[in-house]
Amino acid sequence: MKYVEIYKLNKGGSQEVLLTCMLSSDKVVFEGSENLINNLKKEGILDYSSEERRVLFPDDGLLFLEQLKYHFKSGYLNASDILEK
Amino acid sequence: MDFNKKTEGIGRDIDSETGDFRKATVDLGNDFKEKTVELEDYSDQKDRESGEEKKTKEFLPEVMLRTPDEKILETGQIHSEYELMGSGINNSRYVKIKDDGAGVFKSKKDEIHTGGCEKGTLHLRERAAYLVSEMLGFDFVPPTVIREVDGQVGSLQRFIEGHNLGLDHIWDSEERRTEEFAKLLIFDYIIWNMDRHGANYLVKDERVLAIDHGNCFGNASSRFVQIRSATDTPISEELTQGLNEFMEQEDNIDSLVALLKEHISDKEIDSCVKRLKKITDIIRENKMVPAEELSNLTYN
Repeated sequence: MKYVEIYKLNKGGSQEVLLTCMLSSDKVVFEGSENLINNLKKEGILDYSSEERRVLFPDDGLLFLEQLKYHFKSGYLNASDILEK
Repeated sequence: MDFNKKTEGIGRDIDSETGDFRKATVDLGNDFKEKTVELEDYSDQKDRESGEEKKTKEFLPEVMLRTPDEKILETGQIHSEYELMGSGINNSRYVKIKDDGAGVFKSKKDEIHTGGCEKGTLHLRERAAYLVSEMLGFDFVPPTVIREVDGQVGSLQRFIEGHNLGLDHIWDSEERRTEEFAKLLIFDYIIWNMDRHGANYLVKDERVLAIDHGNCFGNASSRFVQIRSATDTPISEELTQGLNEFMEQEDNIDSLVALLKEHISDKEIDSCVKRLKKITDIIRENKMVPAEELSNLTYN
């Protein structure tokens, strides 16, 4: 199963997994922070691979998963590459 | 805006092309307009647009000589640094500075083009956004400098302790939230921020702190992310007055241009100044950004 982890940076430099985003039946489902889940479901993320920068939502599946690392890159919140388990 | 932030005699800057440090001897006067810099050793620089080589004797206003916090970030001894998980896009690192807190470092070398901005320039845009925030009185981008960490040049931004992530924060009042978002809308327009969302602003003490500005100043083919809910919200008298005062003096614009020249192209600077003038006019007339003006918030 493909998945992406979102890491939150804490004081002192430690990181914790705030959210896990998993590809399930061509859609992305979540485990973790309710605030972040609601934010992603409501606001979506930008498709940084497209010229028009359309908004992607969890139902966009693999493309949504792929673009998470471009969305979460501030350091305070970082997204992993796609992982597999 | 307080331009009298420093009294340094020696300034340093990083050549954005080579990553080398350049020395600068600064003659400090009482009036910041009279400060000129003779660069002891400056490299030929290439005009970003034409590729022609040129030597430049540059005017560096006092504010470019760094606030105390900027100096710490730029020259402080690094106690430890390590790569963050999920840092594949920019090799972001957590950097502890000896006896002086920490910062988030983003390397130039590992930048990945994310549309609208040239690879290898994102770290400069982080610094440029901070300079605009400081010059115009927004004061909400954490101090950001360009420096070398572990052999790599990049941006280093002060890590803010005790913050909430924007998407986690519960505001004391809706009024406060919309006031802060209105400031963010204006700032994002000026810098043409193509990447604002709930995960790249922080909140501390009911104030927004804006972060993650690698995708800014871009070009007309990209769009800036508008915070529509922040329209029709009264802008603070302090910010309105500050922007008006800034625009009234041509020297202020010249100073801003001089600061930004190290970081973004002349075309991008020109467009930024045009947007600044446009949004200041809108705010002066309306005391807010009316929703019907959103379509007029164009790149130039």
